[in-house]
Amino acid sequence: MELFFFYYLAGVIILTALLVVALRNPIYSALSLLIMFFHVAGLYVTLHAEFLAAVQVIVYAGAILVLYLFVVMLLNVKREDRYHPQFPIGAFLGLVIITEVLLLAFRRSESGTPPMPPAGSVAEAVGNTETIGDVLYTTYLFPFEVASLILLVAMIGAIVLAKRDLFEA
Amino acid sequence: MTFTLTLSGADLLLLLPEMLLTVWLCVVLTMDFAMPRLPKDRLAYLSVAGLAGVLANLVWFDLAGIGGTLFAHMFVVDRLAVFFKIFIVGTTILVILASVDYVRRFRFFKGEYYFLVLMSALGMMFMASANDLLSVFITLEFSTFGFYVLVAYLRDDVASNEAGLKFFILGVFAAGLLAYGISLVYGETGKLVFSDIASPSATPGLVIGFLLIFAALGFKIGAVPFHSWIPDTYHGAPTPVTAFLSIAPKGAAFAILIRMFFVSLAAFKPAWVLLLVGASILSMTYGNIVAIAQRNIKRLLAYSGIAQIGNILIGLAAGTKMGGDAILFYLLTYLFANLGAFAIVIAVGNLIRSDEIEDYNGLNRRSPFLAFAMLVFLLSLAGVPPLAGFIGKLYIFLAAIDEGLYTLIAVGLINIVISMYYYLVVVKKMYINEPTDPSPLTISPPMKVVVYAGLAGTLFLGIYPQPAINWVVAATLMFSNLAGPAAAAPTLVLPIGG
Amino acid sequence: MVPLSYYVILSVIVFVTGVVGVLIRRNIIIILLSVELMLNATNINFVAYSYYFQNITGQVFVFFALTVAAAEVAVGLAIIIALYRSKSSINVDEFQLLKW
Repeated sequence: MELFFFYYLAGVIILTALLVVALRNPIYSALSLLIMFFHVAGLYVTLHAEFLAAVQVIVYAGAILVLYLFVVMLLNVKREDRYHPQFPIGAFLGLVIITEVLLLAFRRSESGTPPMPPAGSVAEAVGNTETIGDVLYTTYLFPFEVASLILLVAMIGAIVLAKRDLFEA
Repeated sequence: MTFTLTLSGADLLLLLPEMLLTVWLCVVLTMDFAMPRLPKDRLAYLSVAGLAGVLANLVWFDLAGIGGTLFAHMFVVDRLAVFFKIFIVGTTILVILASVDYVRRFRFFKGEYYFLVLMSALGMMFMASANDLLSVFITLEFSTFGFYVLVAYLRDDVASNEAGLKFFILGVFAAGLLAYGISLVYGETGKLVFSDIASPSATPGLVIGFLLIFAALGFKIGAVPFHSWIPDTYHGAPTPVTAFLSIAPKGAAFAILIRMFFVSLAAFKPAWVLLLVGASILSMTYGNIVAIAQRNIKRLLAYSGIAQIGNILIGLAAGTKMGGDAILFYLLTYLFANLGAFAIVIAVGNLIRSDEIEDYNGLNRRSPFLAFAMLVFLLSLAGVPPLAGFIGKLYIFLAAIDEGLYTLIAVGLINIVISMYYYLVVVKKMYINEPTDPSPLTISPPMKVVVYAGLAGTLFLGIYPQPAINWVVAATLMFSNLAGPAAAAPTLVLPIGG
Repeated sequence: MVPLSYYVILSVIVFVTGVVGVLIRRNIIIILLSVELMLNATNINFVAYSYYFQNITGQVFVFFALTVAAAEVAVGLAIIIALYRSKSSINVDEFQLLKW
């Protein structure tokens, strides 16, 4: 049963990822990316990471993609977009890399399970949100504070670059 | 399952420089919008004052030997970190002083410029202390965001916008590579701290992961083949931002590279030595050869910067403690010479509104001081004694000789000769050619301070390098177990000068 | 039980698709969407590894990668808007002022 869910989610993820890169209209690409985000969130749920699934939907689908669509509509991006002249090379290279890595992965999966590190066990009974919350404000406080500074920079940066200069600042 | 936050006063002390800087940049931002009629130069001097305070704090850390790790080894304060923080704060002070005149030509958002410069400096200070891959990722992105905005700051100038966009696209691409590489390393080892991910077996996932991480960091330092963003970004960005970009992020990225290669990858040294030798040869050769054809001084300095990074990679390829010392010392010499050269470019650019080398003709007639200073800086970059660049290159080559990297040294020496050509072309134009407009040029006091600081650093490090050498040797003491045959001596007695 | 290698294969395919997208498309918006593909591939990797190792570090990284992605979208789109105001086009190949 789990396998069936995985195949469905993985299949749609791969299909929509290819569509993002292959479609000519930026709006269609953005919408297929939206479908991909939802299925990635579904994948997280099957991996017992419910909090991340919710955050994925809220942040990626609900904020980032909406921002992209705003800009696409605002700038009136046209769909007469042709591929880069090096398209055949790029696609070929992509196939080569995928085949190579698939071979590596299959060789590895036959040689045994990945190493199991000792520390940091997470009991599933506690629940995903509480576990992340426990660790986010104690062990990972430093990246958390830096993340808040990142958001400040992004905010000021966006204002500085995109605000219409209506008055002397 | 509850974890409690145990953070004592002694722990918070380690964060003091960053906390000071964070508070100060909030002060700068608040004063900018709370007092709209304040002349923006005051904000520059206010920022410099704050940075001077942070610098004093860091010097105290260095002298008192304060250090430790926080947050499960994610944040480390050791002498290496303090060295790089002093490097970054020093660069930022000089860059802000050099931008005072340039900022006057922005129509809007002058105050936010200083805020963004301070933010990027804060991010790079965090990078110097990053001891695990999560910290590396988040601090790298933090410092780069400030730069994305700064490069595109001239909103009306298409060149600046394009430079910003190109830098941004390649930057986020590198960020994607970095994140994926980190995920592969995590998949192989289950941990992210540098000392924990040193695993003895080279599984494909680990190798690809570290290669991707190296690719992303190579983008940051501008090594070939990850250098394509450098010429256009340096050309289009506002010149003070170019100066900042050409020095500080490279230093911060080297802090991470040194920790990664010397701690996590110590077991695979023969493999990555080859990789670094290749990158170094490519960078030096490509940078120097393409620099010859440049007609714009900013692009010339951009390509020369790529070649200089190739030189520094020689020190990393040596992989010993002495190699690490050489990298730190070379970065110091590069700081003074490159910043000085860019200061002159900013000053001349402010006055004659052009960055073409042809317009440097006869600079000696118009301002002997500027021409002389540029001469000193370019010769230091080329590696001419008795200037700092010569000692820097000597140190790096000595480290490489110890490890037997003779091919690399041969290529390096050839490249020194090639680089002398394009540096001397500029010198010739300044001194021998006739200026189109012989009116004299004068520069403002803050710019004079920067040029004098550059001259002082370049001459002092060249003539009497011993104190600086003692400092960098002490900074890398933790890597003594990587010593090559003759690298444990605390004082390096050089046969020249001091 | 889904083997771990299946998740890795999935993330590799999505990642390479993203990389190819960045390299071959000329429209800036699509390039940025391809970078989002790369970051999502990374996130899938982290969550899968985190589950199989029973180690929370991976999920915390995803949390921060999400933050960084959001911030970078804000800055990137601001740059694009600024560029669009100077020149009315966002095709990468039409920028001839600075050579690639």
